[in-house]
Amino acid sequence: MNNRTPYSRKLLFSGILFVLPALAYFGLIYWYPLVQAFEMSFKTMLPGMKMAFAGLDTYKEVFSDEAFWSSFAHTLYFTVIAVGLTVGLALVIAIALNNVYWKSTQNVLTMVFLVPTLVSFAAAGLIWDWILHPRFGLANQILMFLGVSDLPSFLQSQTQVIPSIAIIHAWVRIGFSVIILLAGLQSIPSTYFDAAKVDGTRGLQLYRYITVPLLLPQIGAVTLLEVIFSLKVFDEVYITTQGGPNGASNVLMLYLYNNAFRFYRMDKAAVAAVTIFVVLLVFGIVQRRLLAGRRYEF
Amino acid sequence: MSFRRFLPRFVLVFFLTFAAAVMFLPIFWTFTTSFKTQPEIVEVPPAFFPDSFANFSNYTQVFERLHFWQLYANSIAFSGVVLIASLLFASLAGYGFAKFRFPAREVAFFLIVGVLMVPFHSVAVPLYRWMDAMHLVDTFGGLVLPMLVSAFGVLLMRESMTTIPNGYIEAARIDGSSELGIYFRIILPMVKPALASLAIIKFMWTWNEFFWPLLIINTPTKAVVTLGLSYLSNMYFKEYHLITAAATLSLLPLVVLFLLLRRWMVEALTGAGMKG
Repeated sequence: MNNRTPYSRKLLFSGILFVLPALAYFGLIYWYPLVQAFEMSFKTMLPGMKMAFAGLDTYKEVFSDEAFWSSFAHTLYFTVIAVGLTVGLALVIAIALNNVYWKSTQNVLTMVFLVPTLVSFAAAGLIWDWILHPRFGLANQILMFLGVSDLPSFLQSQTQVIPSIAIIHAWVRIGFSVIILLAGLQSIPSTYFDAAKVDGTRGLQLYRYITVPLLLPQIGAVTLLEVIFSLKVFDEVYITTQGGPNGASNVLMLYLYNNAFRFYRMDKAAVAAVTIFVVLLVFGIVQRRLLAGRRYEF
Repeated sequence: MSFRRFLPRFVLVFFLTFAAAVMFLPIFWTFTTSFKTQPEIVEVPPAFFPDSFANFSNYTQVFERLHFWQLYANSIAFSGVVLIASLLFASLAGYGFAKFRFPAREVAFFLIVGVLMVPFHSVAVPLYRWMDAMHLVDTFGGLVLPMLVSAFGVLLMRESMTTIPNGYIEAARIDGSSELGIYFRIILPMVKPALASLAIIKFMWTWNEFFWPLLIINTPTKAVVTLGLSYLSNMYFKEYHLITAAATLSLLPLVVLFLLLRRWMVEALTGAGMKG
């Protein structure tokens, strides 16, 4: 597409026209509201009062709000457990699947692991709310059968609620990470393993020195993807506990939702929205950087 | 195959099958619970299977109370409109970015891909006020409006269209095809796999979307399936025989789709992961 061809001017406009609908749409639906969120965060918007410039007042209010910091802490705690479970288990499952000798068995098993990924977080919340029911839920029935006397109360316990929701989250997300990691494993040429074996590398050492290092780009990619996903956790929490018991599962998105739609403090919600945006932006930039570098060439 | 080689292979499959069964157990348990009566549910220890798989009373109750047909219809309309719109807009933009040069193209591309870094929740509040001002709260229009174009889709489309040789396009131009004609008759047929991937992903994501429907829809008959589920969990007394039936119904369409399109589905999800 040379600029000197007689078509160039027409082509230039065609190109712009092709991208214009999407561009205008995102300007209107994402970028303009994002600017508005920033704007709202600097204004007082108490219900029934006129909007006025408030400077950093709302920021001060939110950042000295204990509920904000506890929701922040819960979100981080949740993210660590959920991502650890998801990526850790997915890695083990993917490596195991990759070693299955019979191809059709491997395919069928992969499909089964993928099924929970289809489940919405809303439905997963309901399903697990039932499984984790302290008295009649399947989880405690199994634990009782195994002879555990001190049964957990999962979603109804202040200390267990975040790990419980993390399990729900991981259950939905594992299958997705499994197929990404499996695709990565299958793209590692067997010559690497053959060479290592000739050099005398055996058993678990093969994983330590060959598989995991060569898989690092994919591991890094799914980890960051899951971190970004987990920081936005909302649906399961809303469905199962609504932040309870006693605020123990209040997460950032719930803080935002409650302020905007329960307490009608749009300004505080806007501050939370800006904070979440900045936090995720940092992770997003790290993600792009990591994906750009550290590639192994096969 | 000698036994000594067979054994470790078998043990591995055995453990994986066990792990897969554990992963599948919650869905299985939900399914069986949905056929149980209230007294069966509080049995300790619980029976593995319901007394009768012909007990559809939970399902009939869910259909009546939640107007589940209506929820299905709303979810299908929601996902369908979103899917078609994103296929159209994403492929148009993808083509523009893949095969044309124009000023500020990189900036324009960043403005689209950058959306992937903006959490929807952050723009949801201003967006809601907007919808409120335009009287779109509690309407289908308000529900679909923020979901119509997919930034991920633009990325996917651009990538697959870049691989199309320019010769095809230039030949069509010399033959006198219009630019839009080239897009419809030459480009789109060549990226069918990518379009299928995007369609699958977008349908799944939209079907499972919860946050925006929760904000924008207030009338139960206008709700989508995921939102309808939340109506059951909000009650003080949780009726698990109904909850499990509703959860099963919400999964059903995606599971059927998965069984029909499993190979496509795996490919689509793998592609989605690579792009983040």
